[in-house]
Amino acid sequence: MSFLLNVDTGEDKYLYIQNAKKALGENPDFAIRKIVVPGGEITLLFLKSMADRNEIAKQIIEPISKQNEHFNFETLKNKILLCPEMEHTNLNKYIDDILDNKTVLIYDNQALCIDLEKYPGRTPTEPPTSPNIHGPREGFVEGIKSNMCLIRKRLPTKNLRIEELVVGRETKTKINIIYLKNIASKKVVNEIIKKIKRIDIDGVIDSYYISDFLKHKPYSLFEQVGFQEKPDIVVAKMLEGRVAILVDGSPIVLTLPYMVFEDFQSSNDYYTNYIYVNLIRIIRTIGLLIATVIPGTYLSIRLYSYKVLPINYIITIANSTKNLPFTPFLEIVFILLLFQVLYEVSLRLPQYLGLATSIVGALVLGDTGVKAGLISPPGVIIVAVSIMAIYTVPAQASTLTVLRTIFVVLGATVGLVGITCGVIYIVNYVNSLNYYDTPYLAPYAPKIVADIKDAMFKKPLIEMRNRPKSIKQNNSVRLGGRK
Amino acid sequence: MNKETINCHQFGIIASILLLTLKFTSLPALLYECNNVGGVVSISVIVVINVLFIILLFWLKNKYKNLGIYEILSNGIGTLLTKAIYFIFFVFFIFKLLSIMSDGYGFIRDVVDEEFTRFNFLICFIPVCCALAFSGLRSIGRTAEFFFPYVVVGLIVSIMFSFVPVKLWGIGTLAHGTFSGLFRSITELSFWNGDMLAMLIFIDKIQVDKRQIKRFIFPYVTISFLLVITYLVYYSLYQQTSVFHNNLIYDIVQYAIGTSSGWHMDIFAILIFIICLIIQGGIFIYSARDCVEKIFNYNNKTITLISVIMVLIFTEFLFLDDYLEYVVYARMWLSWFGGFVMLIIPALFCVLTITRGGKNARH
Repeated sequence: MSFLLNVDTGEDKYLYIQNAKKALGENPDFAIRKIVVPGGEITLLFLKSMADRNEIAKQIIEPISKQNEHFNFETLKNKILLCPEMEHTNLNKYIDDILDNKTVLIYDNQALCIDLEKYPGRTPTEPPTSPNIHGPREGFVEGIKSNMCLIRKRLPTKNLRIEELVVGRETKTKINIIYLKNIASKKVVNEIIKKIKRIDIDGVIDSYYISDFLKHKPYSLFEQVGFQEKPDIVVAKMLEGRVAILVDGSPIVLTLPYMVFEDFQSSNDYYTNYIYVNLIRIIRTIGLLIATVIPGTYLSIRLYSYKVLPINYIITIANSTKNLPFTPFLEIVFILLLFQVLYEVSLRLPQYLGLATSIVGALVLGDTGVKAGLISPPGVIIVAVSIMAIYTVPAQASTLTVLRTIFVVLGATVGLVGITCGVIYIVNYVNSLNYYDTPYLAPYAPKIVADIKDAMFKKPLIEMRNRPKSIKQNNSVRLGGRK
Repeated sequence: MNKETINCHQFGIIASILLLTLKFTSLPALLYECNNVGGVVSISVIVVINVLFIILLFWLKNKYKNLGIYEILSNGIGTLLTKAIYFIFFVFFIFKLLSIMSDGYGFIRDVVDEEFTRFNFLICFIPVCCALAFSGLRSIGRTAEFFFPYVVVGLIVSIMFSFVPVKLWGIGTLAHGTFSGLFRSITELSFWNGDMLAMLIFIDKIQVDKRQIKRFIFPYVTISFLLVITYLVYYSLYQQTSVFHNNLIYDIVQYAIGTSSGWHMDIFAILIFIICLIIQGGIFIYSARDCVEKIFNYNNKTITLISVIMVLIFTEFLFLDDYLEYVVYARMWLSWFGGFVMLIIPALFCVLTITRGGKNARH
């Protein structure tokens, strides 16, 4: 190491060095190291913060320092250096290579780009939003190479194809488009590549930045791209004919095409008894309905259609809500606002303050609010149930929260009819979404009988002989050897 | 699949909804007035007539492949007459929309919320129907397909709620009806039928695959069967329910409270009517918009839709001051108009097809 640091960095002799200095400016992070060898001089250009100095010493300097005779560039490249990953680079590209965390070696007016990068990264752990009872617990991390490794080790097949793109004028973020050549539709893959190539943005910080460009209706409330945190789920989706998009720096992998019923499925469903899974999926569906329409329906029943309830329930609600200072609508809005504020606070507060927030939220605001006569117990119950139910389909939480607000307004203004009209409008709207040749509400609208075996209900794996027909693909047969 | 095409299953479901919606409200009571409990026979005959119309559609589809009716008619009778027929269609769909709105508003006021205003109804109904019409036939087909299971379940639940106290087989249905009553019920109330004519407008957008015909038959037969059963239950309850009898479903679920421990959960079953109502409204607005496009050779979707809505709102204020009056008006005047449209236009197609043999088919 000391050898490396003591090398003289005097006057530049080569165009390579001059250009690099000009391009990168007076950058304390940029290192130029020269090593005198018999009959010449080797120059190393790299970024101190990103290069693995131990590996540079071990794989470049140590072998070179052992040479006592003159050697040419080809000998250096093929016989002396021990680096597993290196390639010839040129004047047009080497500065980008340096910025891409590579070490550039210059000798004999030629340059080599060597991959010896090292940057802080965490090890794959179980993602907080998709915990598993059974099944794999690995989750994606921020490094694209680690994420590729997690996918590749599950798909050691020659059919795995990776298209690498770079997006972001300043961030130069690597994006890998991964698919199985024998399954995924080439048309879908090309459309995705075309859309990503068209992106002209200064920086891509996370995969969400890319997702907006992959949507056909970017202003829509509804998700049009799948977001996954676990490699087992991504691989399962790729086996169904989807395409995965990995973005460097993001632990979220995008999958396309996307259908809404994907979010009703959890990875647990595939590692548990299918009868139990059917029950859970019914509960998720009910949860979705409760989360979205229950507060609005409660309001409409209280305001317009109270005759729906039996007389003793009407009396109970009337007793609980009498003398409230707010109208039913304002009461529900007030409680919803309260819960949403608590939710936002709990997301941002340090963990040790979480308990305190719960106490303040549940006891002070809830119980005291009821006792003070500001809010009614039925209102608190309805809103609390609705907010909890949202997390039966956590991937849709943001969409459902907005929809719930819309239904609250509809229920309060035009009652049950408004809610029914709202539901029809929304279903019709999502039915008009048909991205990457995949209907949004498939397999129910349009009805694709073959795909219903893994939608709202699930059949055992031995029944899933074919890949989903809702997704365009090249090879539909999934389960062979059994008629 | 093209954005404007529907498959056989969606075709079957749209046909079922067109058959069902306007039969849910005042029609059964009006049939009773004409033919007593022989109204069950009347509705059965209406179902058979609709089946004949479906057969005609399949025949035309087979003869002309992907040719639209505008092309068929203009090749046969000239552009001017075709435009005149499209104008008649347009008027027919506008009055059909008024029927839907009058029945729908009456239903909501009687069943869901008695303080529901006309303004509330308009701001709920028109935007959603417009959204359906604007999103295209494929979206309408898919939306109908999505809600169809709920419609079937809702209908079955509604029948089940009322089934307990009914002595269904003791009503002697056929004995109370007369042939003249049957004839009167069909001719005088013809405007409550003929909704299927809308399918002529988009016949070229239906993808009929012979292997998929059973996917058409299943929903259509199910709904036809449930419709006749619902009428049977209704007539068996007729004397025991309200004196107004504006709504078939409302009447048949009167006993639901007894069978559901005081909960009026029947309201959720009968909300299926609103679903049918809006889907049918969307189909009619879509068809009316298509008529405007063809009449004026103008293809701007937004402008044609706005013009349909303006005409609709104008006629709504003109004719729908009192929805009960509209029933009288429809029975007196629109029956003639409806009868004319429902007989003459299919007959014209038959004549044209037989004489020209579908030789203009686009393969």
